[in-house]
Amino acid sequence: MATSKFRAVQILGKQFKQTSIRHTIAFSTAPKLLKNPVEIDIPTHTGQKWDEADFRLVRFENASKEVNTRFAIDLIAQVPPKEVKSRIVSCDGGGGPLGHPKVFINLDQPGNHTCGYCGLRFLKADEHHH
Amino acid sequence: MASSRLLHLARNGLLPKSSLNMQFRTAYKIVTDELGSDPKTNQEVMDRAGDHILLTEIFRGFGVTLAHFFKEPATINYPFEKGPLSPRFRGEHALRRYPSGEERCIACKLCEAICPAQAITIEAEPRADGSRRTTRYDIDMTKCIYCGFCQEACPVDAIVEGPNFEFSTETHEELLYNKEKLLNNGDKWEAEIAASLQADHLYR
Repeated sequence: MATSKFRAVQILGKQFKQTSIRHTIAFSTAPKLLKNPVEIDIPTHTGQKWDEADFRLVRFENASKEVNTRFAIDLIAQVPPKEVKSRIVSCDGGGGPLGHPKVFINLDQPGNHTCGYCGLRFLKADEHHH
Repeated sequence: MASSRLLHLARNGLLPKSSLNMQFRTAYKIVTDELGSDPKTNQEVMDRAGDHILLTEIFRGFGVTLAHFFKEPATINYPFEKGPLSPRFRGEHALRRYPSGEERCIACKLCEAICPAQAITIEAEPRADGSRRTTRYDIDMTKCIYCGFCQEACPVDAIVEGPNFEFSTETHEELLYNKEKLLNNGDKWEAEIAASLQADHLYR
């Protein structure tokens, strides 16, 4: 019994010898080059951004700043205003019950009229009287 | 064996009933054969001998094993396969957009008002193009109780509790969601969320 135990210890010892148990130090004392604050502090849609010297930028060293770069103001500006013939237009956001509450927009005033819910623009087509 | 001996004693009144924490029924009839009783008729003897010699029970056991081999497994390979979810499942929050890309949220603050855990914080301001939108939409996911009142209150289906239930983090701060995170969730899960709303829209 004793010999078998000794044998087991021998085998274990060999295993330990084969696997390197050298630890790599997780931190170093050498000066670390911080990331470029312009690259890591991406402005959000409200323009939120810190000064380049702001110490709070360290929080973006290991975790990136959560920014949704699809700014709604740019996306809705790409949708061209819709020309309609009637004086009043209704908008429900599309998809019936999956849109927004239906609103009626009066287009008597010249220029674009924006739906307050979904931001779509409507425009009354010019009536040409010849 | 011990219990049958206790039963015997109790039946003959040799055991004080109050001392036992059990109750024995004393008037009953056994209408079936006792388990493991000896065969009585010749037919029974022959049947049993046949069962033993022809290994019928062994083969029936193998048959059950084989049947299970061809059955659909009851388990799933969880991180890679997931169980079915109801369209009403209330998971991680997301802020949705219209197909045009415009944010749905108009900063009406109904969700902030209804939230029983007061986990939602909203600040609003007219945007550069004049539309009313939020400048800040924070949800403290550690305060949230996932009651779903926010998505019920929302008139435009902007804030929804999507089907994602795997959003554990290592730190508390990572669960303090801001508008950017919620919009990113919405962009990531829009297909699933839209399908869930479509499936349930008749009942809302």
